Amino acid sequence: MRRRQAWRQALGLLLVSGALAGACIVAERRPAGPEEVRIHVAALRSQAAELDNLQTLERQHCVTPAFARRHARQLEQAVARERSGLAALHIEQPRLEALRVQAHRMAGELATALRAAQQRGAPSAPALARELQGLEEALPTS
Amino acid sequence: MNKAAELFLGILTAMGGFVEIGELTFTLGAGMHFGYQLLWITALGTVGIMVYCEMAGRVAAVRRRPVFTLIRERNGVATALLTLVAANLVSLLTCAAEIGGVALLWQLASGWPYRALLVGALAFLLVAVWLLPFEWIERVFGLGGLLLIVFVAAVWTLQPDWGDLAAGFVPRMPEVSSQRELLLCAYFGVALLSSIMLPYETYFYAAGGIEDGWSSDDIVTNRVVVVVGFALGALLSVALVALGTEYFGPRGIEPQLPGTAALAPASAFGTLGLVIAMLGLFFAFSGAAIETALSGAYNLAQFAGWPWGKAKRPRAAARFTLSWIAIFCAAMLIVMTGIDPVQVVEYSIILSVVVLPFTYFPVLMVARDKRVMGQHANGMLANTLGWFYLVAITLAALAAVPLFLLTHGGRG
Repeated sequence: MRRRQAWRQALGLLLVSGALAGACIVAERRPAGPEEVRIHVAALRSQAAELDNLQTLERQHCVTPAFARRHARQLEQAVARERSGLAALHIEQPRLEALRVQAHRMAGELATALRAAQQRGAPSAPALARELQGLEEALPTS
Repeated sequence: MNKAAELFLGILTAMGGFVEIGELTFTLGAGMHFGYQLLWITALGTVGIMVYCEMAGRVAAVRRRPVFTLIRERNGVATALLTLVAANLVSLLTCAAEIGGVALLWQLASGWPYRALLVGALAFLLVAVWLLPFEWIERVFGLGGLLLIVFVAAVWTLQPDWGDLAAGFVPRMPEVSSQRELLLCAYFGVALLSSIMLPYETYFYAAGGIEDGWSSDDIVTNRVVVVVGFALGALLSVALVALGTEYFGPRGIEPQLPGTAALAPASAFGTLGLVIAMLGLFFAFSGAAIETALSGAYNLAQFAGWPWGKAKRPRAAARFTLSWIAIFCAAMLIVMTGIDPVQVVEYSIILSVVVLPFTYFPVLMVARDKRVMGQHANGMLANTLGWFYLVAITLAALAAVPLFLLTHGGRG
């Protein structure tokens, strides 16, 4: 009786795990839409705005130059995660793909700006946040 | 120590230990995205955690029964085992995120490599828990967490519209422009409730009552500490929502790193504000890492019937001691993979909501049972609030996973 119950529970667990794994595979292979691109662009826009704010605070001596450099380094790693997320998106619509490529390029520019911010006296890059904002608005609504 | 001093320290400790990395992320994010619209959820969650910690503390004081022993007795072994696995997974993930948070803060202070600092953070936490007695762990990290008051002071300098802030405490339908935003708002609401009512807080609080040797005489202390300490702790949460609204929202910054949160006090008070904020965050994250690791070990020991407690010598509670060491090490290995600690927080918060009803139901059942609790059983108010919150968290638990999937983990 107990053995039968155990088999039934094991079978149930197997079915649920199989269904979950299947759902994950289907979700992974599904072409990405504008929402997936928007998530990365919004994160990049926030990171660009943060770089701008960090440099303003550094100029006002509200944060030490060492803190600004190290925070820029952590931001650079966060940008790298968004950039690889964008690179991994599989998109079928040509117009959306063009926007993804543009976002990927801008992520590269942001990473460069963050690397520059880790050197003392680097110029600020407020324009990037605005450009990313424009790109986010250009994305079609799903 | 006299009763008044003990009460005062208990209140300050409860206040200082209120915020951890999950709450920091979600309160700032909620303010940044939705202004003060979700402030009422903060109040709702605070009263909820007061209600259930008071009950769990009272049961611990009167019957000296910790939460997981009750879960096993009331829910049966199979359900209790499921709850144990889920609760300890939540504790492990939360502990991982806190250790990651500590390493990120140390990296900002030292510039050393992140992975080396993760090992350093693990060593620091292991030594702290090994050497410090239970009440010193509570006090050092709880009182250190009080430095987060700098966030309240930063809000004061921003002079927000106090009328708008007060209006946020009134429950209402959010003003959003699209269905996507409505789903995101619902996700933040559920996550905010979960981050305040994290189940490990109840496990730790009740086990702590037993560690501190509470008896029926401590019921009033328990009530005052929970109500006053958590209410003051909620002030920190409100301040974080306000900073999200007033500082990060207008700048278009969604704080995803501990250092980002510290920029608001830095902007208000310069480098002194930055240093105080970073120290406060360090104590808050370290305290939460310790609480989650100990909670996981408490749960396991209470479920299996092993001897447990920090007051016992490690050899007298060997399996308990090994459990918290193992949880710390496993948590460190999770963040060592390079996964973003904030992403880990998001998973742990959502899993927490699912565990909440399984945790709180047995606490309510025992606390209201006159045969078990005698004259200290729940009154009408505690029963009404207990049932109300049980329904609320069950609804939140049902909505949590679909909302997580629909909003891509709360990212949009």
